[in-house]
Amino acid sequence: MKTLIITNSYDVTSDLIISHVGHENIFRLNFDLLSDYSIYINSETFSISSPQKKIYENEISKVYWRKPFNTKNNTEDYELVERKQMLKQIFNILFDKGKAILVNPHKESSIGKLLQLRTASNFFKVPEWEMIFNQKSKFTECITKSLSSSIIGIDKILYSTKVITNELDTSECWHLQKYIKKEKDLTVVYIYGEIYAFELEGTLNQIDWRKDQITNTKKWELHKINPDLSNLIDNYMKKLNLDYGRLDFIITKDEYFFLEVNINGQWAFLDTHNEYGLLSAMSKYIHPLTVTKFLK
Amino acid sequence: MESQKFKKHTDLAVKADFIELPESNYDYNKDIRFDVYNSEVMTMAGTRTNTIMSQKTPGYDGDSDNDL
Repeated sequence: MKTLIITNSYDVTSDLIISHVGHENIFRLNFDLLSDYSIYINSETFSISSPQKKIYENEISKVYWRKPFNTKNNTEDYELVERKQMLKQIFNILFDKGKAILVNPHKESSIGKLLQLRTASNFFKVPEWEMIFNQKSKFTECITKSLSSSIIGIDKILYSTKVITNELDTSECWHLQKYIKKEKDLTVVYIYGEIYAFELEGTLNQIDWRKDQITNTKKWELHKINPDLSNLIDNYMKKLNLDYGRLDFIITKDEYFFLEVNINGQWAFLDTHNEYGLLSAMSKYIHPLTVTKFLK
Repeated sequence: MESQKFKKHTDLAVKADFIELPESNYDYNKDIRFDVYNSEVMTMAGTRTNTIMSQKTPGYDGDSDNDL
């Protein structure tokens, strides 16, 4: 039996997993190299062949949706859309058979950022927020965040950015959040109830740590999370029916403020050398022969 | 008098940095592109960025809600 990982060939996280779990236990399907594969699907089964391997549906015990579409495409033509759909259908077939683990990419749209924030307010402190469209903001100065985290144009993104609200074009929709000065960023990887928490102190950028991650590299350090917060995280994830997620918080004056949960959040950067057991934990669940709870 | 230009999302967006991982061929035998035991690759992937993705991918966290 093997685990099918649906991703792209530049996904170093998958390189790490495969090196840890063993390539004989994984079949990797890379969207950006799809021309190298052959795929056959009918009403009873499917098979996928790469230049070196072939796998049949009944040889797959688990499927892990990583990041198949995270490579740059200059065109989004019809054929590309069809190819994407084929990969999604393979995932759906395996999901229906109860073989999907950790990440259900459909949850990203079915939950979304606003519902997760509303739900979070029952569990955590959440900075005051609003979504406006053809409306005035109640804030004068605040943070704006992208709802979709999509790339704008070819290579631009909207980081969380401080704005003066009467300068905004309100014919566009804006997700706005009260600015809270942070002392630390906290990110928490949740895997089937296991919690791995990491903190980042003193980023140059007060608003969005991603903005200076390349010019000002800092290592995320292990954070000792208190049992109360740990329980709240567990209850929150159960409420959203998520087996995996990376939750972002900010810490200020020993208070934790919830920002968001990333349903398919990146995790390998936190423990590249497996110092904290995160890589081992993920590998354990991804291994085709371990007992794992499957997504519902 | 010139009318005020209100800001749109595109006015606030900035160019994302690109991660520069070394060129490497995909190995179908091992099903990996990068040697994860090469500390240079992993240092770049792990600490220079948080994304562990590719030189083809803008260097933000890759946690887009558009994974589909």
